[in-house]
Formats: sequence, structure tokens, C-alpha cells
Amino acid sequence: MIVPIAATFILAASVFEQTFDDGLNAYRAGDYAAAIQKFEDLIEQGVVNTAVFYNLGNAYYRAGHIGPAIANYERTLQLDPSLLDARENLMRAVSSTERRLSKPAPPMWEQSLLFWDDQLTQQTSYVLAGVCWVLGWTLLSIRLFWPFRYLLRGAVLAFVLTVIFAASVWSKANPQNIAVAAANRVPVHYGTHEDETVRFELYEGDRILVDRRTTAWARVITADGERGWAKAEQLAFVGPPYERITPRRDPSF
Amino acid sequence: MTIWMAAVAVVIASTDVPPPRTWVSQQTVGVDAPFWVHVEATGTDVTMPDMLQCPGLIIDPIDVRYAVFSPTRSENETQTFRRSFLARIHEPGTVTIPFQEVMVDGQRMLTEAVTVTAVTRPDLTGPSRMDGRDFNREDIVFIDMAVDRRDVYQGEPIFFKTQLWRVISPQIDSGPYGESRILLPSTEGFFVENLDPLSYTESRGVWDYDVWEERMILYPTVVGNVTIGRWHWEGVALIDTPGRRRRDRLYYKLNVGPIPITVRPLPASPAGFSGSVGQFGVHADSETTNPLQGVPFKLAVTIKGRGNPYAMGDPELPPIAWADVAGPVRELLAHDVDESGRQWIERRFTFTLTPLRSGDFRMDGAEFTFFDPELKTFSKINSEPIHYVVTPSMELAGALVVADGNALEEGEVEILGEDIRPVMPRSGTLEADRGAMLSLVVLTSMPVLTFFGLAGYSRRQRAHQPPRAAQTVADARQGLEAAAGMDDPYGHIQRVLSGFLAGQVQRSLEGLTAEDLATELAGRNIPEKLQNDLAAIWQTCERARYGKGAHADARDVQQIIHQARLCVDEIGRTPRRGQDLS
Repeated sequence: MIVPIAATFILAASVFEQTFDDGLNAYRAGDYAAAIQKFEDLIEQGVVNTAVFYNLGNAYYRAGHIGPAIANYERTLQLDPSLLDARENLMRAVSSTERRLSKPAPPMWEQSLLFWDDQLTQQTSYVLAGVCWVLGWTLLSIRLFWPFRYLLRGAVLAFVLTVIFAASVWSKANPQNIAVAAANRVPVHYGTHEDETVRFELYEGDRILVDRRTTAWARVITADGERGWAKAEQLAFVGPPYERITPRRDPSF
Repeated sequence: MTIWMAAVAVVIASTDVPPPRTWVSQQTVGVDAPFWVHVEATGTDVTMPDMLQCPGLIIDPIDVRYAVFSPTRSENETQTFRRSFLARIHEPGTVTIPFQEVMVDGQRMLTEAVTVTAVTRPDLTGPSRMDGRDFNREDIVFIDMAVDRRDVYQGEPIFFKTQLWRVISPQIDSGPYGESRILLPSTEGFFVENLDPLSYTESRGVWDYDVWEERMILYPTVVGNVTIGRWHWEGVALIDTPGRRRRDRLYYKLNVGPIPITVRPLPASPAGFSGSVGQFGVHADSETTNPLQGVPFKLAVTIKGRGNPYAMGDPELPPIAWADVAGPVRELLAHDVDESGRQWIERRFTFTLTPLRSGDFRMDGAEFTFFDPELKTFSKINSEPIHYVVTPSMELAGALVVADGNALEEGEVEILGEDIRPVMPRSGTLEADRGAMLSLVVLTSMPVLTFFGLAGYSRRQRAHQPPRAAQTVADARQGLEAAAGMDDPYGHIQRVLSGFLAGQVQRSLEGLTAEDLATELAGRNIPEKLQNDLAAIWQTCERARYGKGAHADARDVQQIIHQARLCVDEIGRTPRRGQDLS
């Protein structure tokens, strides 16, 4: 039983790798539309990988779709904030947008408490939290046999650090719900109907916060507090969850 | 003096109920020159005519304005209603505007007829009502709005302004009040670019006014008939009246607009149309005309002119086979609007060229295609051609190693995507994200379970081990029981008791007599009876050891052992002062 299951996983992994390589080859050959389809296929199948998002961002950028490019660079930096290439490409992409709108800032409590974890990946925070957790319980276990008073203090400190790193893990696993305008002009209405008055417009590449979402509409908030409803199909949602941005075989791509 | 006396006239007049009236802004007008026809009535409930019917008079059906003047904000009080019609006369002559029927508080009332004379020489327009010395309500505050054109092509900008005029007078203050409603004109169907508002002083008639002007550029986003909505403004004028302590108030409800706009679609556009509407010129400026092979340089194409800066597409460069072209980077260098609303814009498009080969090359000018609304046709303009001499690079004389270790054909350069970082290769295996819940549960629970397991083990170990005090009593009892089989039972009993009591009193008891032992035990909070029993046992053992018989009677031995055991049990149950019982 175990062998077929393991074989299934192994086969799936090799299919993913083949798809990745196909996408990379298509990119290098200049067929950016094909590269986009391949990398989007991987995302649709649940692959969450820094290289996939980054390369997809480059493919969108080369194809002239700044909005989806920015969305994928943001995804890359969610997974690995220290990746300088992604950060630089994101800056280039944002600088080529019409308004160079800044990204909505996270809540004040998060900025105040978690200002130190910008360069840490989620996995690093996860490991640090785990190490502190195990250390705390180890110190308590030692104290059962050797009642040294500093062991209790050390355990308390370890548990406090565990809470701090766990907060970092949680904030990275639950980032702000960001979307990027994926069309040249995205009208933002007062309500969820096309006949509603347009309140303002977004330009391609503008990053906004999404605080509500229906099937076809999303309520967006810009960095300067303007809010309204935009069509979901005109936005590229950063995630998680990581959704396919381009429908299959979209002729515009 | 004149102003506030006129103001007094306004106030006094407002206290009487004047009859309905019709009058015109000019009684002598030029042919086809616009003028206003006002119909006014005062009452609590007034119904005005929707439209004027007058042969020879052409009325604008859209631009009908109405205003309400009142000394209070209450709509149940007497108010003055006015409806104004914008009119023209096509032919010279005299036109008589007949009486107009109005309903005032349920009564049918008629205004008087008014004549207007149209002349072909506009300078003979005659005195304007505003030039007169009469001071009317509308002289204090009024609003206006206008566009520079009403018939445009899609994408062609419209200059739109709204003006609030307030008379300058030391006796009169005017403006909105706390609960006044101000509904701005709707600009649906337009993309709006707000300009800086203006505040200035201007004369009209005999009065000077503070004018607050809001300006904006409207870009039609739809084709067909689009309307700039009505502007509704409410305010109050506070008028000083001599001899009165309280200032008189005059409330206003003013409306202006709407303004219809006709937006025409652009004709079928040629290939390469940039999307721009206006009048433009193009100029190209190269950073160098002698670039080095493989070294990027900038080519800036500047578009200047009048039009919409937000709908300006990129100029097209001709095919350049000898260089890679990246960009452009778009910059808005200038965007000015003059008083009449005409825009001047300047945008720069910077391309980055990287020569792939050396040699002499001629680049044709950059091309820009736009629609000229004045000529009603598309225009294509080109910048000047540029001649380049690309110097070969000595570093590239051999084969180049670029991305992925591919060596290229000699003398050519592969662009690595110098504007963004290159793609990343695959690292490791790819797999679907299954989440970390299982490892999280394992990681979290294992140290906790280990701790509680160890805690349980530790507790069990302590439960199986008698405490130190109990261990001493048990040892003593065991030792006493063994004395029965000893050769020297009394000596053994004494040694066992000595060891046990030494642990209790924390000192050696060897060499002590029975009396010494009793004294020592008295200082350790041991009951007197117990002291006496132990002293008696001690004395018995001493006598038996150093006394007559080495052969002790077994019954005597058992009795001593029993008594000693009772004493040991008694001591083991009693806490001692200063004794460590842990």
C-alpha cells in the first residue's frame, strides 16, 4: 500500500518538474505566453514554490502584463522576503506603473511587534518557534531531577520567545489580502453593479487591500483609504490561497 | 452709503409681497446673442411655467435655471421663486414676450409682457440691468458654470469651470450656512482631472465680486450625448441694516445647468494610432551617436503639444535589427493649463538600446500617430532620423559566456534581460503543498508528552522509596529484630539505639551514660515518659553487658527488644525541634 502511494507522489513530483522545465525553456525561447501557462498550471495543481512564482512574474513582465507580474513578485517575497532579485524586479515593475501606488501597510500592531521579521521566511520563524518550544520543555524536564532555580527562569524565557516566533509564523501564514489591478483601467464602483457610479479608477499595477469578496466582485481599499467595489476578474489576487491568475488558454495571453 | 441704503430697499421690499413679473437681462440685444428672460413670483406655494412660448424667441431647453430667495430657511414662509431661460433672437426686430401665467398660493396670476429688441450691431445693446443702480437679490450672490466646448471627439479634453460670485461690501456677508445643501454637478461619463481652484476679484456692473472658481478638465469616456449635471447651491446673505441690531438674512437656493455635451466617436484609426487626441510635435534625442557594442545607451523621444496626457500612447520606433530595444520609461515632464483651459503637455519616452553588432546604421525617426480634432483627421509625425556608428568592443572579440554557460557566436551579444533580473532555475523537487499541520502537531505535542512522562516516572520513584526519616526507623527496627540472634544482644540493641538516636539528635551518643542520655533527650523535645523508657533500656543494656551474665535470657532480650521498638516507633512519629525530617 505504501509503495503505490509513494510512487504516486514521486510521479507527481516528476511531472511538476517537467512542467517547470517546459515553462523555463519556453521563457528562454521568448514564448512568454506558453511559459505563463506552464507556471500557472503548477500553481493550479497546488505547487507553492519561490522559483515558480518568481519565474511567472518575469514571464508576465516580459509579456507586458505588469499587474500579474507584480502579484507574483509579491507572492515570491511572501515565501522568501530576503530574495533580492524578486525585490528588485518588483521595484522595477512598480516603477513602470502609472501611479506607482504604494502597497497598503499592515496593521499597526503588526508593524510595532513584528518589525524585526521582515527578512525571515515563514519556515525560519517556524523553526525558531519550535526550537524555543522544545528548549522550554527540556528545561522543565531537567528541573524534575535537578531543581536548579535558573532552569525555571530559562523555561519561562523560552516560552515567551516561542510565543513571539509563533506570532511571526501566524502573520506570515496569514498575510494581508492584497490584490493588484490586472487591467489597464479598473473602475471601482460604489456598489456591486456595473451601473453603480464609478468612484475612482485603478491603473494596472496598483496594489490594493481586499477586505470582502463575492463571486464576481471584491471590495478594495487603496493605501490612502479610498474604497469601493471592483470586478474580481480585473484583479490579480496575491493570496494565499494562490489562485490561477490567467484562465486557461485566454486568447489575450 | 449707497450700498446699504440699497440693501435697506431690498429688505423693505422683501417685507411686501410683490406681484409676479417678467423681465430680461438686456432689452436690446444683438442678433443670436444670448440673453436671460426671468420669471419671478413671491409666495408660499408658487408654480412657475416650465418653458416660455414666444414666437421669434429661441429658448435653450436644457439651460433653465431656477433660484429661491427667502428671509428664512423655512419653506412654509414666503419665498421668492425665479425661473430663468436662456434665449436668442435670430432676426433683427422687436419681440414681445407675452404675459406668463403663474400660480401663487392657489391663485392664478399673470406677469406683464416684456419687449426685447434685436439689432445687428451688437454694440448697440443698450444699458444692461446690471449697470443700473438697482440692487437686486441676484446681485449679492450668484453661481455660474461653463465649458469651453460642447461638441468634442472622444478623448478630447473639455475645460469645465464653476464660479461662485459674492458681492464685496462691508455691510454684506454671504456664503453657505451650516445645513445648506451643496450638490456638485455630476460628471458621470467623464474622467475628471481637478485643477487648482482660483480666487480672484472681478467687477460686474457697478459691483465688485469675490469669485471662487473650481476648474477641471473632463475627458469623455463614452460616446454619444453626455450631460454635466446640475449644480445646486444653498447659502445665506447677512445684510446690515442701519438702526437695527440684528442683521437681516436672505436665503438662497440656486441652480445652474445641466450642460449637454455631444461626444463623437473617432473615425476608423490607422495602424499605429497612439490613442492621443490633440495637436502634437515629436523630437528624438540620443545619448550618443557613437555607442559601444554591448553597452546600452538612452534614446529619449519627447512628445509636446495639447491634448490628454493620460491617453497618450507610446511613439513607435522603427525596426532596429542591430540593437536590442527595451522600454520605454514614461515621464510626464510638463502639464500646464492656461486660464482658458487649454492644456500644454510634454511627455518623454526613454528607450534603452543595446547595440548587438558594430557598424554604421541609420535609424529612421520615431513615429507618432494622433487624431487632430480641429482638422478632424489623423496625423502621423516623425522625428528626425539618427545616424549611429557602433564601435566594436575589444572585450567581445572572442566568444562570450553568458547565462547558462552558453558560448555565443563571435561578435554578438545576448541580452540577459538587463531591465529585470533573470529567471531562477529549479532547485530541488517540486511538490504540492500539503500543509504543515501534521508536523506542527507532532512538534508541539512530543516535548509536552515527554515532560509529563518524566514527571510521572519521577513521582513513582519517590513513592517507592521510603523517606529518610522512615528509612531510619525501619533500619532501627530491623536492627533490633536481629539482636535476638546475636551473641551480644544487649550490646547490639545499644548500638542500634545509639545509631538511631544519634540520627535524631544529630550528634554521637557513644560513651553517654543513661543519665547523660536522659539529659540529651530532654533538650530534644522528647516526652518525659519516652526519655525515662529509653534511659531504662540504656541502663539495662549497660548492666547486661558489663554485668554478671553473657548469656542473656531470651525472654528478657525479647522484652527489651519490644520496648526498644516501641520507643523507636514513638520517636519516628514525633517531629523534633531543630531536626531535619526530610
